[in-house]
Amino acid sequence: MILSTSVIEREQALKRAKIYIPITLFCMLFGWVYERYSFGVYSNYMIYAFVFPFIGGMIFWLLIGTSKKKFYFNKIFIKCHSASIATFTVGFIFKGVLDIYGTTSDLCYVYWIAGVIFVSVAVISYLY
Amino acid sequence: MGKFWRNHRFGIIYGVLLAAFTTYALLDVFVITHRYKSFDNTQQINDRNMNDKNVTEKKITETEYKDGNITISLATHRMYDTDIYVADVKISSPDNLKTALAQNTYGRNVKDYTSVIAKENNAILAINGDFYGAQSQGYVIRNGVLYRSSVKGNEDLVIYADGTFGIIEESKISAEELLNAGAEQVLSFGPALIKNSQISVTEKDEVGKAMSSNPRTAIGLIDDLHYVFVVSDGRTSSSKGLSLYQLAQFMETLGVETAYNLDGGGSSTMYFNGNIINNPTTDGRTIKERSVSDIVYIGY
Repeated sequence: MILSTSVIEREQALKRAKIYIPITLFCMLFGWVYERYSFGVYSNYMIYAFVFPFIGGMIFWLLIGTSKKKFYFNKIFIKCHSASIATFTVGFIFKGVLDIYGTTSDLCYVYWIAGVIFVSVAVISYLY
Repeated sequence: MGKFWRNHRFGIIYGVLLAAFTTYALLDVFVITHRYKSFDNTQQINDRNMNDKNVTEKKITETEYKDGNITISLATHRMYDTDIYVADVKISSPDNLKTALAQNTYGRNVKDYTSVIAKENNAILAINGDFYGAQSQGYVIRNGVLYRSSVKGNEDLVIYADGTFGIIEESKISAEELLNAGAEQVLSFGPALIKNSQISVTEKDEVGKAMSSNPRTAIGLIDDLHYVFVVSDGRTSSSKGLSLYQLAQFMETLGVETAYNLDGGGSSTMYFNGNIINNPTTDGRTIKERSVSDIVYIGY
């Protein structure tokens, strides 16, 4: 099967970068509010959940959009890239909630495994 | 609509799946009850009631309990802007120091108030335990029964059949070995506050990700069959709460040889003769007990 690849135009990339701005801000605000009401119990997972939409989403597409080099991405890359960011972000927030409550769950591994699978598929689809 | 669906169907479907899984995961952790092992303790309770009736010359006041086998005296201390409740306990038999599980069931999300579990077990004095049900790993041995042997890496409190205390690291000894060595109770929370009469935490030590001031629960051994049960208030305008180091310093003033930190925060509760002694709170505004998995208690 030949995957359709298309060049990502500057406007498209910047549009995608903009989508991640409110998501990043929401994660920052959510983490800040949650920490504020957790009686001094903190979780790095909760604090840094915003890093995925910020670096993986906003900064990534900003760099693509402002680069002079042309990038070719197929639909699988774009979908898996977005899905990996969503999975890691939700996984970090979930783990943060558990940390702050003082509990653990093996279900956290589902997020990490799913996230890694999406990243791997995205990278493979880009390379091949 | 058709074009929007075609362009975004992967995102929509995956978003719904992610939300559904997260909802399930949260319910699994906080709500869904997993009962792994239940037991009927009616006979035990009946035996205890008989024993209790056989105990004569009981002296019970708001701050004291005394019979031929058990002596408990309560005192309230004020240190570090915090009310600290201390129950000094002397027993004639190690069998009087016990633990109990909520709903007489070992499981996850099987919880009840400390006071309810205490009443169900005819406890004279009780404090919350290690909230084993909030963790999926860590040793659980209660009243000589091994419930969980997976290693979490905690420093555990072992209460042996003769009533002595030991502090062990899960990575260095298995739960089965502890059972064979005569462990009656193993509480997996920690850390140990005092070992060999020396403070064993530093000012930087904390429980997991907790910061300094919180309600706390601890248990200490002074000498043979002589214990202290300690609970501090916290998170309120009248009581700030304690850091682990402050709790250890306080335990040291009581002259304990070994002291161990149990689950704190909203779980911290002390029950004595049908009453809750401290001011348990999770949010600092409402004084209300939090449901827990287990208690440590004195009774027959």
